[in-house]
Amino acid sequence: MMLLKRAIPSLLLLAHAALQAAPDGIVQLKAVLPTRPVFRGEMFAVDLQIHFLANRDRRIDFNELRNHPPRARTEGIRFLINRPYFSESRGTIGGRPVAIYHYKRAAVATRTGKLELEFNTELLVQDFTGGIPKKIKYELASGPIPLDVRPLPVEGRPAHFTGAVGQFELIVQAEKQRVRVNNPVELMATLQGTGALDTVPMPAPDNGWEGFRVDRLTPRLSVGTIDLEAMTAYSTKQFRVNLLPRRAGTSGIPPLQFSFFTPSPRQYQELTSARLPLVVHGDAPVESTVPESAVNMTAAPESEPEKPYAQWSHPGPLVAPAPPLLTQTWFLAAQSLPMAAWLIALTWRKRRDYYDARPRLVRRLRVEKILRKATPRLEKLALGDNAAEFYAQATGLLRERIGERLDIPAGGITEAVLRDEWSERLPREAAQKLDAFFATANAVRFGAGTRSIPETAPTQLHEILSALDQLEAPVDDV
Amino acid sequence: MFKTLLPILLAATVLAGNEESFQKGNRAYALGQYENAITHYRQLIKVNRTSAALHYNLANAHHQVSRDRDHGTALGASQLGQAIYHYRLARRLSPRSQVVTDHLQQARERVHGQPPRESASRVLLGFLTLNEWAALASVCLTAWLGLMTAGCIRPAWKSTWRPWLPMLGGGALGFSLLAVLAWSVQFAGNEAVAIRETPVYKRPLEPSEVPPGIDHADPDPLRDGIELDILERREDDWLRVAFADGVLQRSGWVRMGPERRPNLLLFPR
Repeated sequence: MMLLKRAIPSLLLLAHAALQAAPDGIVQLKAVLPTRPVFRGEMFAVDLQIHFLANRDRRIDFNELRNHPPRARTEGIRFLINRPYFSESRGTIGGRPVAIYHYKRAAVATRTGKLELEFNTELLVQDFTGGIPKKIKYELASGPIPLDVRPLPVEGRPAHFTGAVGQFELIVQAEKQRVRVNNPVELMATLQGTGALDTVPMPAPDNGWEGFRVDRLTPRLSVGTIDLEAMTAYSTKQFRVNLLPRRAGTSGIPPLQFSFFTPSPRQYQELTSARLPLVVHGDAPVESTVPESAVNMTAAPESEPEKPYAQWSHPGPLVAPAPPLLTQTWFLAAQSLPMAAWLIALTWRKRRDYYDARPRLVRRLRVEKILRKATPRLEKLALGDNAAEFYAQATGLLRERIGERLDIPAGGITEAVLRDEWSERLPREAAQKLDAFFATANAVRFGAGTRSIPETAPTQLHEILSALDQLEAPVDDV
Repeated sequence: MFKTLLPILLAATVLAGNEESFQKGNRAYALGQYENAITHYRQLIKVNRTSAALHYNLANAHHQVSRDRDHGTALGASQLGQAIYHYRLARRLSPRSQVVTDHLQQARERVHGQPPRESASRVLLGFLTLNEWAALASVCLTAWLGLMTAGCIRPAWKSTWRPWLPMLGGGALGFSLLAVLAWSVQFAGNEAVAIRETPVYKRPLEPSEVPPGIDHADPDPLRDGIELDILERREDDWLRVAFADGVLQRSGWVRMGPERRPNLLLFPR
């Protein structure tokens, strides 16, 4: 064992090196493998190196290096430890300083013969030449590196040899020494030593597990100490089985046998564990008195397996998924209808309240409307020479206007009222015309005078109305 | 006559076919053929049909596959993510169904080892569907404006319903706010469920960094069934997410898988 550990570093010194330069010789990938022949299944070290001509204008991100370890491009070896051991050193090439990044890995050969192994990787180098930072991608490859892999010798190979190469020891322990028939006893077999254990099966007894039922549990492999120089790992693999003895009687657990090949003396070695004592008894359990309190106890119900969930039998409305109401135009538009109704009602209410508070204004507007409508009608009556109707409507019209200006009902307009209220407010000329117009109207309507309309009557009426318009209208108290 | 009846007959045939697929799924489920049941239910989803019962039954089938797998009676990948996704869609359509909520919590318990606590705001917003919130807001708004309109027409009536006006107005405002919040929570497209193990990174990786660097990845990947809040979405399919993983609140960047092999299911808008 010790010899092996000492021999491997010296072998590495003689290792073959292959360099594959990048186009401009800045980065190189180098692989160091043993130059001596190795046996199939034997653990050996692989040192993959990246040589980098570093200066102030170029650098490699450390994470970039760690995250892109070189990988094998050809088949023939298998790496044993998942992640390489990364380290850094300094060296020179042609007198120029180089940084050397090491990726050390342990490997075993999976094929025999003279292998030509190749490795490759990709790297991004940050280049600051010319002041503009840029990233240059290098595809690095080692050249083919020979490795002589020899088959394990046939002479002296034990019958139960399963391919382990290295130096190992076997420890076997049983959980207990006394067990009932068909009850399990856990047996733990531990293989530990230097070499690849990942594919090694559990050691077995010479004649198999006769008299036992064997339930195998998942083995556990752990890597312990690693010799970073030789990249040899001291590993431990634990196998666990549950043995269920089928027969009663004093028996024992049969010894386990394990054999392995040691490259250094080039010979097979055999390990046999001691026979572990095991007493198997199959007698019925002793009758014991059942306490009175326990008689009425009921056994705890066994936990039932989980029942499948009940399905809904009716699919419901199987419809195409519709967008939510909040995103549908019709829904948003519908919300504006009550708002519009309220705004219309509010406007109407405000308008109505305004006019309700202003009765004189309402009357003035009403009279003006009557005047607008009556004017063409009166002109028509004047043209038709319908004196009675003309004067009747004209008198009514004047009463409305005068009533509105005096703020008294139209029916309350009499000659006395006109004399009292208007003598001072109406211009003299207009008052005379008004008197004359009323007198003519009375004569036409109630007297036996002429039945024709004087030509000046419409003009007179117009002048009277214009004069009335000039008078100040009564104002509402708001 | 024929032209009038033809669309009706076609619609009836399609409806009957949908119902038949649903019942086929139920029969397969009853026989323990959960994968078959999933196929039948999925046929309906493929033709753009949806209902609370469809999503609930589909979620149950996925959940059952996961339970069988845990008990060692079935092989294949866990489908808890799919189950949670469809339970949540069922709950969107039928939010007050206790059985849907219970099964969703059970599926979440399988993912996290304990039922995760839902925030009070989510419980409140999830009490009604989004359309129910919207309808409630609409009814309150219409009633409020209707009374105000009637008050304008007949001011004498105002005294009768004066106490109701602030309540209806407040209700309209509150329900509108809740509807908008529910929409932003449920339909903003900011939620997803993981259906495959997916690495979580501290930052989005650049295309030159493929295969992904081990130093950037969080040691614990996203597991099937973990629900995510999407905080940021980039055009190159990188998502910044926050999520509960057991009792931990974690965040990071994940990349959406390709359409033929998705790793996340995004909730529809």
